[in-house]
Amino acid sequence: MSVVTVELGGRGELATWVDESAQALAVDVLDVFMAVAEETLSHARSDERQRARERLQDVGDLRRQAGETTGPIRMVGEEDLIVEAIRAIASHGAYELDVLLEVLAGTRAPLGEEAVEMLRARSAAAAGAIEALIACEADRRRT
Amino acid sequence: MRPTVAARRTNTSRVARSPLGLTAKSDAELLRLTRDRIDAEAFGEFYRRHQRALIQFLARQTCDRDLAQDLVAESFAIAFSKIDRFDPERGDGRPWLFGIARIAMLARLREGGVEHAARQRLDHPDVDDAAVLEAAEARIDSSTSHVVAGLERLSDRERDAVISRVLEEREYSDIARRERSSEVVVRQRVSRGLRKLARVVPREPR
Repeated sequence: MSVVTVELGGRGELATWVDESAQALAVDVLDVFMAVAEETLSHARSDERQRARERLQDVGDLRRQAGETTGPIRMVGEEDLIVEAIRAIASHGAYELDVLLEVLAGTRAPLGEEAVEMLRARSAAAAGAIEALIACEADRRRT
Repeated sequence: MRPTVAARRTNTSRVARSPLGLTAKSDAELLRLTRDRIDAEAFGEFYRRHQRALIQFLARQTCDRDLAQDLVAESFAIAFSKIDRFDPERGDGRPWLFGIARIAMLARLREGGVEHAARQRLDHPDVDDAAVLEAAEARIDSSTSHVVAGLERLSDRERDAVISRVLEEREYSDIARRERSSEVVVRQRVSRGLRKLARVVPREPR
């Protein structure tokens, strides 16, 4: 079971840890966040460009934090963005687990070792992300 | 002599229907062919196969057809750029694509639609894509003045894409290179632009 801790920083910042089992998941999600932010910046009107640029920068920071660490991922940033990212990571983890279960449900043969291993990995990743989400939200409720 | 829009449409349709036997291949094979740069048409087949279902999925999720169309373009563009991340051992191409689309949707909705809010909102009739494009192209052939007026209603990027593709007859790949964008995004801009034009250009008398 993953261990998640949350720290509240100054100026509305939040630091949280995501279990390493969810690292690939976090990277996938933040890659898409970055691509969307880049696309938004490329289309932004002049009065929206600054906001879009800051968003891209913040998401890029999170992506680096998720991709460049080994072990549990420490994610630090503006509270709303951290929670948004963790929610998306948890949601995607649950989706990936659901997709795998749907495939397995369609087969009659006993599950092979590979399938069991994959189930464990996806289950751990989803659980890790959900734990991080719960910890974040619990902390926000306390403050 | 320049070919008519109708003639070009016929040629394009013929090519699209027989993309080198790609229709028989699985999604995973198409993505592998794309990743390994073996067949440039493979991703086009993957796009054709899932584009409509993805629009429907996103339109249901967002209740906003314009936003859904933006997201479809973004999702395919992201999938193309992240194709190395596709692992057939982890699942088929469709759930992989839809997973990307789900994340893009979450990100876009949270961003508050910076781009989307800036655009003029127009309701799209829920009709067959090919039929709309066909009707729009036919009307464009005969209703130049309305088209000029209609072009004013498009965003800059949509207008450029429609002019480049339909009037200047440039290839999608050529436009994408010039715009420093992907073919998928350009195709979506042309499609979206033609849909908008279709609503402002009057129908031909029967």
